Amino acid sequence: MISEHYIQRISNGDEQAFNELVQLWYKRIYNYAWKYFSKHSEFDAHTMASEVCQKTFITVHKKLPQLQEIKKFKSWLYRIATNYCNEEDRKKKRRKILSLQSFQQEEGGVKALDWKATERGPEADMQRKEAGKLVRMALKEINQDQRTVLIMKEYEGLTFREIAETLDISENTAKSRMYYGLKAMRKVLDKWNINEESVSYGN
Amino acid sequence: METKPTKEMLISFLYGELEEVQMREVKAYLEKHPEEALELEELSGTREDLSKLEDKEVVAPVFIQPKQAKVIDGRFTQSLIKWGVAASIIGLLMTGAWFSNLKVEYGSKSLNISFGGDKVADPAYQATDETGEQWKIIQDSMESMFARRNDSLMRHLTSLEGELKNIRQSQLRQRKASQELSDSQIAALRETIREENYRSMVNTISLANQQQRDYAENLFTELADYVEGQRKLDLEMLEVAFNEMAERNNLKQQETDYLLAQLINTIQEEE
Repeated sequence: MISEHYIQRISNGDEQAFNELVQLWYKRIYNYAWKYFSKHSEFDAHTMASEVCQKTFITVHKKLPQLQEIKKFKSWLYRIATNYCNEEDRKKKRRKILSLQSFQQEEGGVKALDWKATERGPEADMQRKEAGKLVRMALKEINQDQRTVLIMKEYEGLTFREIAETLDISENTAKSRMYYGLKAMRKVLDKWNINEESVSYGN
Repeated sequence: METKPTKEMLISFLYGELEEVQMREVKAYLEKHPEEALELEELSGTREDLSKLEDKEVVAPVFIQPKQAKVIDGRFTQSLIKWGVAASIIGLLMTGAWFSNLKVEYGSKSLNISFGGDKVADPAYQATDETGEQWKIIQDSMESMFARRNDSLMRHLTSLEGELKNIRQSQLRQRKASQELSDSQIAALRETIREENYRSMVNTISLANQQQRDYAENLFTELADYVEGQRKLDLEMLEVAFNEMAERNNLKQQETDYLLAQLINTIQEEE
């Protein structure tokens, strides 16, 4: 609803409204891309997610007047972001550059780029981060299609209809991918002996 | 619901995206089939686990848009330049003609072109009255045609000049707009940069801390491994020493037993 209001303002020539639209969606798109790139190192995922955000919002700015149904803005936005995620992923595969950062990663040097401020004490914060890291590691173990649906549903809160529109698949396919995605996640977490209690210890 | 719900239905149930009637049906089925309910509970537990991965905090950049200017298409610009050059040449010729007082006349079966001075009729040509009339008509129509053409060219030239002027002004406005940002844009940009700097600093400190922590952790782990290794070595040595001592002890025991047995025998024989 808020997006529709901003889009209306943009179409009326209000330039500031686009900035407000970016402020509203930037974090969501960044985090969607960041989780999408969970198979990459944290540093690479951050760089790639920033790149995706930049390209996505430039495209939104260019093509917003072409958007036929304002109500479908959310799925339209995520479709653009998903396309750029795929593109970045392909580029990354082509490049395969062994950066200093990835070297340090392998050596166990640089581990995380976390900007979240500490609110519950350093110990609890660290444990919480560790639990998040485990889940992120588990995410990269599952099939790409299932992971995309899982991220859209669990973290971005899209309905199955919106996911279907975004990925150009049927609603049932989206639900099926979600089902098998959750199953696969459970399997990975069980294999690592991670259960609800072990990931909750940080809270 | 008697029939088993599909996995798509189960997922929709898990996310509360079923119709009220279907929700009740699936719920009733799950109550009758606890093993299915357990499976769904597991999926729900996985969702709980997934929630541990939190969002990263990021600052959205400020998008600065220059004032909207008319987009000039490349082909349009080229044709504009072409027409501009043609119009300029015609304009120059006309200006030159005006300054030199150029006169073109077609009369008495002759074409007369003069620059300023009076025209002098060529005595060699003497036209009859009838043909002279015809040439007069042709001359008038040509003059009026040239005049019309000149007017139209002048109008076209003026409109092209006006258009060029507008484009130039629009480009200047665009350039100015991209150079001069409004106070709110500068403030927003400054705020973003400040925020980014802050986060970069926090990041650097966090990374340095992490590295130090990893280094200390590795050091302690290595030290603990070393101590553990030494302890094992010492224990093994102690075990070997105890074993040897036990063996020696046994041997001495056997020797003592043997000696005692011999002594008892000797005493018994003597008795």
